[in-house]
Amino acid sequence: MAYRRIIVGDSEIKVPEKLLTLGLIPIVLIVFFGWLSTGIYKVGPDEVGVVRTFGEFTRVDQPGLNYHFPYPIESVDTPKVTEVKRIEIGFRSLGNGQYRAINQESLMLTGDENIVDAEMIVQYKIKSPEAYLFDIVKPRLTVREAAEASLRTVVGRHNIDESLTSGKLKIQEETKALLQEILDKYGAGIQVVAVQLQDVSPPEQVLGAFKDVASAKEDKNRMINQAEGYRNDLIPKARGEAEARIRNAEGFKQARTKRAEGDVAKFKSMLKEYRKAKNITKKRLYLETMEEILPGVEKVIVPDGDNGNVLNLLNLNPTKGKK
Amino acid sequence: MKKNIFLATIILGLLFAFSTVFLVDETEQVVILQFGKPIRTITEPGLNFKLPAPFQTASVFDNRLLEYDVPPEEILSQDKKSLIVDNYVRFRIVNPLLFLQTVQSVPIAVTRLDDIVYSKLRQELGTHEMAEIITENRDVIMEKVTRESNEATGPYGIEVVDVRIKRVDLPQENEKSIYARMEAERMRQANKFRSEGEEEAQKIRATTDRDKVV
Repeated sequence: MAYRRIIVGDSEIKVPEKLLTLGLIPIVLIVFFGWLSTGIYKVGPDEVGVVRTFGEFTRVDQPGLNYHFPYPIESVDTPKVTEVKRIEIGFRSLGNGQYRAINQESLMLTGDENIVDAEMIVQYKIKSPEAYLFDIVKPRLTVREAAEASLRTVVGRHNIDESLTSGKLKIQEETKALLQEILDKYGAGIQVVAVQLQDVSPPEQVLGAFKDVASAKEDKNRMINQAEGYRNDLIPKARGEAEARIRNAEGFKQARTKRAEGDVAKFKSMLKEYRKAKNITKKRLYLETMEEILPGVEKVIVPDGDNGNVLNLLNLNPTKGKK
Repeated sequence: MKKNIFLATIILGLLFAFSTVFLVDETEQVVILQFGKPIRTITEPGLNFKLPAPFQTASVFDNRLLEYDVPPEEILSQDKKSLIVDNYVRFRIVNPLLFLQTVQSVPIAVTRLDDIVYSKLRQELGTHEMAEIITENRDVIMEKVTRESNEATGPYGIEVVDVRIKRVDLPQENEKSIYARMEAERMRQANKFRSEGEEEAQKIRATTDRDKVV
């Protein structure tokens, strides 16, 4: 067997002649297959593989193991198409639940030339990977700028009280629609998933005044409640009192009627007696009446017919002070 | 010896062949220049051929929608109120040949664009009152500025897709007066609520007293 001697550094290696003549072919093959193997690539479950052949978009590969012809024939991008991306406007999360407000972004003019402080989150995802990759630059910035513009445009259509209270949902929807319209106009291949207004509040400088309005509302309710309390306290009492008086009066009435009826009966029976024996009854009546009256009255007996003789006076009253 | 010459020819030939091939990406468009003279415009992506370097060269331009954020500027409205307007521009190179002949590169294009958009915006906002700019008419104004800017940038091979006002704010002094006004307005509301409450309470008390007597 023929050898060729190759000197590497200090040592001498004998290489078989055969290997040298064959040598180039395996090396070329290895390099060739190595080059081919660079075309194997993985597409994650949340991605697609967007393949360009000689720079031209040719196909979309689905998740799994895929193959594209190696550089420079084909190249591939794997954008995350199911991922929902998030942009914060007016604030930035710092992690661990804290955030920093960015007034420059969040302060905006309302339709009635007031200023509100509005913070918003935009969620979006890739609708068309090829448009997203090949038709626009800086997609994130594009969404952010368009979202800011939309929010301000929409808030500008509403007045401050709407923005702060009832109109929030409407603003949210209108902003979403406008943002989508703008992005479609750019052919950005982006789908707006959601627009959420986080916090819409009056600017810090006038927050006190706004809070005072709220407490004034409370004050109003409190005063009304107090007055109602007064009413609720007094009216039943008064009603009860009235009821009591009515009852008393009724009782009095009944008693009076009964007594009167009794009197009538008595009088009638007496009348009957009287008719039977006029003189006796008269006398008896006189005596009975006297019997009833006299014990309570100061009595002096003056004999009848005498010429005012003081000595004949019989004082039946107990002497004052002597008893 | 002959074999070596043959090999060298093949290698040179291959090199030459490779140097004539070039790719146009999805995001690109290309103008082919022959000794500096434009002879061809390629806007479709794919494999293309040209003579190698000193004979023909390729100028590559972006095919995508490009962005340009204009720094905030103070602009006067019709009712002489000054507003700080922050807008941005989205544009596209639609005619690379014209673009190459007039502005050459994106940075230069942006300065031209800035001049045009700024003057159009200023001109347009000057015909509207502040209230209009803030509220209903913003869309209309932006659309008009976009259209007019687009007409003006046509000769540069640029299409202005969108001029959009990101923010309209008032200068700080004016902001203060707005805050003062807002505060006064709220105070008025608060007072109204309180006196309403008092009124209502008085009414209820008076009615109660009357009912009690009756």
